Amino acid sequence: MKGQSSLPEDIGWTIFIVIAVIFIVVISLIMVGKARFDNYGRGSNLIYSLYFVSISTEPYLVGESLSFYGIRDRQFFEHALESAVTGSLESSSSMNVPAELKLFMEAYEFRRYAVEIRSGGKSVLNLDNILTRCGTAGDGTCVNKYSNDITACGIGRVEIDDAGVCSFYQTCCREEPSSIPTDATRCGPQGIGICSKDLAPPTRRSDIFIPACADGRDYYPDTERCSSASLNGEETPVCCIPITTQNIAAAQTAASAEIPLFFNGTSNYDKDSDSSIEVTIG
Amino acid sequence: MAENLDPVWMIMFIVRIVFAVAIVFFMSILILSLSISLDDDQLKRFSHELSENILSSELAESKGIISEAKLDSFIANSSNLISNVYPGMGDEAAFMLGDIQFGQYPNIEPNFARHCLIGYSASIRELNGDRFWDFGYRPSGLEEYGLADENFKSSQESFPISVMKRDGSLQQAEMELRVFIDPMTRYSCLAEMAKTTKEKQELGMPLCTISRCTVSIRNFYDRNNYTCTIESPHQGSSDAEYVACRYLPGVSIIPSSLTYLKDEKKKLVAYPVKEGAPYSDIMSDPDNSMQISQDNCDSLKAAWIATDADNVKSVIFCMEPR
Repeated sequence: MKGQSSLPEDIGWTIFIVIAVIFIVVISLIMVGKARFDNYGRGSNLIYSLYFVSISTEPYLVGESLSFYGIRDRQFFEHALESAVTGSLESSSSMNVPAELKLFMEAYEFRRYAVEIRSGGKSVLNLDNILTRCGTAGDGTCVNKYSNDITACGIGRVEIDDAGVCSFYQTCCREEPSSIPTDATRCGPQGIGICSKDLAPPTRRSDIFIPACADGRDYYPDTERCSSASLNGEETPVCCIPITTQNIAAAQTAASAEIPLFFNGTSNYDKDSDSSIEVTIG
Repeated sequence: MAENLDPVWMIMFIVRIVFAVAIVFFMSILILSLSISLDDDQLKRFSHELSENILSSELAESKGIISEAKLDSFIANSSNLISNVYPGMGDEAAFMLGDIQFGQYPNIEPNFARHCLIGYSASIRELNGDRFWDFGYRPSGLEEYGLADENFKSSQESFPISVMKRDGSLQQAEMELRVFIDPMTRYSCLAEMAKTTKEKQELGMPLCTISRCTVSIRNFYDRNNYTCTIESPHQGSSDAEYVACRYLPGVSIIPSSLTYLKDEKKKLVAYPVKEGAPYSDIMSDPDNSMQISQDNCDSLKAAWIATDADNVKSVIFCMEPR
C-alpha cells in the first residue's frame, strides 16, 4: 500500500472537488437565474444607496432680492444698514419695514422663513413664520393641550399665560432648558433635541413608523439615542427638536444665508459683534 | 475498505455534503443579493448649476434678479430668429419650435446657459403679477418607441427669484427649471461633439424592447438650426412627423434612418464629414431609406471623414456593432 493514496485521502480530495464544483454550479445557476428573471433579488434588504444632498441656494437668492427690494423711500438693504448702525428700527425711521417685509416673504409661500437683522450680537429685526407666538413677552408657543405628552407642555417646556393669543384647545408653552430633567435623554445635532413620547395616533403607526412631536417641535431622526430611551417609566423613542431658527438650520431642515452689513474695525467679520442680515428658508 | 463503507459513516458523509452545499448556497445568495446603487442626483445638481448660470447671465440685473426688459428682448429676439429661418411654417413649427406667433416659448437654449448632453426648459413666473416667460428645449409627448423608460430622465427644481420691472420696482417671481436627458439630447450632443472636435463620437444604444427600433435623425426642414428625430423613416422633409427637435445652430445633419433589432447590441456613431462629400438622398427612394443610409455610411467612412485639417461640413450618423 506504500506510495498509493489511501481511501480517506481519496474521499478528502473528492469532497474538496465536489464542493468546488457545487460552488461553481450554484453560483452559475444563480447568476443565470438573475439574468433571466430580472426581478430576482429586488426589494432585498441588502441594497445600499448613497445620495448627495443638494445645496440649498434659496436663502442666498432671497437675500439678494431682498437687498434690492424697495420699501417706501429706501431699499431694504439701506433700511437694514441704518437700523443696524442706530440699533433700532425706530431710530432709522424703518417702522414700516416688518409689514412690507412680511408681504414680500409671504409671496414665495415658503413652509418656513425667518429674516433677522443683527447688530453687535443683538437682534434689531426678527421676522418669521415659524411659530405662533404667545405670552406677554411673545416668547411662548401655542401647543395643543390634548396632545397627551408626558407633561402638558412636554419635556423642557413650562406653561405660561397665553395673553389671549392661543385657541381654546391650546395652551402657551415656553422653552425652559433648566426644566429638562437630568435623566432625560438628549438627541439630535449638538444635543439640541430631547427624546420624547411619540404623539402619532396609533393608526398611523400601524404600517409605517411615522413619529410625531408636539406643536413647536420638529421630529429629528435619531433612533440610535432614543430607541431605548425612557422617562418616568414611559418610553420616549422620538427625538424632538424645539423649533428655532438656529435649531432647524442645525437639523438641516432649513438653510441659512448670512449677508454681512458692516465690520467693526479692521478685524474679520464676527457674527456676534458685527452686523448682518440673516435669511433662513425651510 | 469495507470499514469505510460503514453505513453510519456514509450517512454522516452525506449529511456533511448537504451541510456544505447549504452553506455554499446561503453564501451565494448573500453575495449575489447585495447590490449597491449610487444615485448621484446628476440632474438635480445640474439644475442648481444651471440656475447659477441663468441668474448671473446677461438677463440678470444682479444675481437672482432678472430684468423684465432684458427677458422681453431675449424672447422677442429668439422668436424672430426662428421666424426668420422658418417663415410661415404654421402649426408644426409652433409645436416643435415654440409658439413664436405670439412671441412665446421659443425652443432655444441660449449660449449663456446650455449643456451639450442635458437639455432644459426654463419658466419664469411673477408671483403677484400675470407675466411669465418660457424658453428652452421641450421633449415631445411622442416618446420614441421601443426604448425603456430609464432612457428618459428628467428633473424639476424651483428657485425663488425676483424680476426687476421697467420702473425699477422688484416683483417676486419663481424660476422653474426642467432638465432632461433623453434620446434627442444624446443625439444632438453627439452631433455637436463630432462637429466641434472633428472626431467620431459613439453612443451605446439602449436595448430595443420591440422587434425593431428605428432612429431617424435630420435637421428641421433641411435648415441647420435644429437637430430632430422623426417618427417614420419613410417621411420626407415636407411630410415628416417630428418627434423632438433641439436647437443646435450650424450643425448640418445628413438625413439617415437607422435600425436595429430586439436585443441587438449596437452603437450609434456620429462622423464629421468633409466639405463636398457626395451622398444619396434617402428620400430619393423612401422605401429603401435604411439601405441608402447604410450605403451613405459605408461610402463616406471610406474617404470623407474629416480630420483636424479639414472643414467639417456636416455630420452623418451610422449604426455599428458594439
